[in-house]
Amino acid sequence: MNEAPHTPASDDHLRRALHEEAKGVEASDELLHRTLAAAARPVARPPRRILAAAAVASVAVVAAVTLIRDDGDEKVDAVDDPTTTTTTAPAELGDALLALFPCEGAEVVQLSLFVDADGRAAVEASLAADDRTLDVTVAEPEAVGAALAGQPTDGVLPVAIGATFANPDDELAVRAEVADLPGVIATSTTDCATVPPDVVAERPNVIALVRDDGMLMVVDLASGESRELYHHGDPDDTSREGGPYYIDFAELSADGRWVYFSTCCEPAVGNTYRIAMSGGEPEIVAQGAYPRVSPDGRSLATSGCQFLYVTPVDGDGSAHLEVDECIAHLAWSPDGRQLAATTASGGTGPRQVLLFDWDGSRLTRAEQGKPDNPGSFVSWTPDGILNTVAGGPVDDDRALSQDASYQWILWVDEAGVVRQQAGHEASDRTPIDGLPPALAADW
Amino acid sequence: MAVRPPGQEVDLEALFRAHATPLLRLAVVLTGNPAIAEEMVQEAFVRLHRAGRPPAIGAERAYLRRTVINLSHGHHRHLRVVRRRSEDRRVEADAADAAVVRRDEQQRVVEAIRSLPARQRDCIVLRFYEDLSDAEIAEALGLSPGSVKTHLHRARAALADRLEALR
Repeated sequence: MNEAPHTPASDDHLRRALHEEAKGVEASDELLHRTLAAAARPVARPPRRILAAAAVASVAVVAAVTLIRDDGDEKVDAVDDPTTTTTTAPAELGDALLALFPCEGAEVVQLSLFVDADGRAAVEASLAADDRTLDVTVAEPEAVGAALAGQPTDGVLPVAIGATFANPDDELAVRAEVADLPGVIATSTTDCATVPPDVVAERPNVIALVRDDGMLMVVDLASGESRELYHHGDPDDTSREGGPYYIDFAELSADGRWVYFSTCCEPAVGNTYRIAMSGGEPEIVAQGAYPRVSPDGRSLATSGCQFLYVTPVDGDGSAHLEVDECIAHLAWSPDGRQLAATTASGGTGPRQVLLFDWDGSRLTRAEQGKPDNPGSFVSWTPDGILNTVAGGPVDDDRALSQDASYQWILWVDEAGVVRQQAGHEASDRTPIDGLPPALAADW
Repeated sequence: MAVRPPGQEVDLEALFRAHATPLLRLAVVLTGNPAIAEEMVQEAFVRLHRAGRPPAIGAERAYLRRTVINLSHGHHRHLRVVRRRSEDRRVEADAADAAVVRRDEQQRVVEAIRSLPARQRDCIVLRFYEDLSDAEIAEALGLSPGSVKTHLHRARAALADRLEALR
């Protein structure tokens, strides 16, 4: 602190500017009453996002996308229980998880289109024009409003149209065709990427996930057996200053020997740990959170809000890039040469999709190929087309703890029961073709 | 500090009256947005109220402060501050007015501080707004004193660069 007093960053300048900023700010009685009312409200269990378990035999689920909810304030309090859908007994856990991802074996792709009322007829006509589509589902308009958070609807809520295709090529063809039709606001897919052959051979038929109480679990999808691996903290334990600390994201290493996980919610950027599949103590392997293993299995991408990191899985020398935005979800392109990222929302400007180039040693910002539409979740199709999923934060009190990725949210409660929903409220459930009957009944 | 006897509830209203204003000021300093700052303070008190094992008597302020700081990161994993649309417009209008009137050096300093990476910003605010020592900042943020020094050093260098460039 040796700056001369006249420099703009001197101690005095900093002190005075910050104190000036706080001048006149008082907590009002109105805030007190709001706070007391909020504290008295029954506790809504925060929606727990789970799991990003990347390796399922020869396929990896890159994104499972659904909808979204009305963002009207008036609907918020009508929903008491954000948890959902009891489906299986513990012994059937593996089967149930496998059944949730309908992509194994035959390639099946689910396309969702968010269209406004004016564009609906055109899109439906296009989809129905020939035999490429197997099915079309029009979601309840009320379920779609928040898909367009931030976009004007003029009182006309958009609809979601889902279509299922027998193979990715058909889906891509239709997608390219309808994307430019009037009224189409966003498209997204649920699809299954092919893992590179050298990785496939080594990947076990195992999935890693985080149970509702924060327990990191591994599940053998062949046998359905699950076991507990590591417990970092309970999501409901708020006794630690600054809130609970628990595992909130898990990903398998390419060879299936390790589980990478990050914890919520560290101050600063957080860390990524790894723990051997066989157990033992975890060790910190990277800065940042939300670890994503590169397609070749050699690198780990993590996000640390304003930092993006790529760390070799078997050594030191992480590369990083500082950005102005706060990065949320990450997704590797199938060729491993690009990383797509969404920015977090929450007072720091509109949500965006960012794109970065990775040349094996250096990260740089890429502007070419960045999609125009915002998204809260990104994924890539097997042939390298970037998907974004529309979606916005939900406008209610519980939005303070929600996750913004409108992927399928799965979790397993303490009794080993699989639960799932899309979005953050029970009302988010939207009919999706291809779900197993036991689940479809609840959607 | 005293351990809270089992069963003794946190008196939220008393805590609010004792700590809310300094916390709200901290939140405003960190975010520059009064509406978001109020949401953060409210959330901090609600979390304290719901804590399975509340902080010891006397440690509430530190707990609340750390919660507010964590919430300020706007990190997707922690905070979704969603402003009502009408409030958005109001806040933006206020900000626009204020921007016209207060484009002075102090404002530039504060904006430069807010543009720092989150951890550097925390350290600067705790040092120059809350007047904490390195050791106190380390304790408040759960960092080592060494990394506090590093963050402060980097933040000072970045601020000097940015503010010098604006001159």
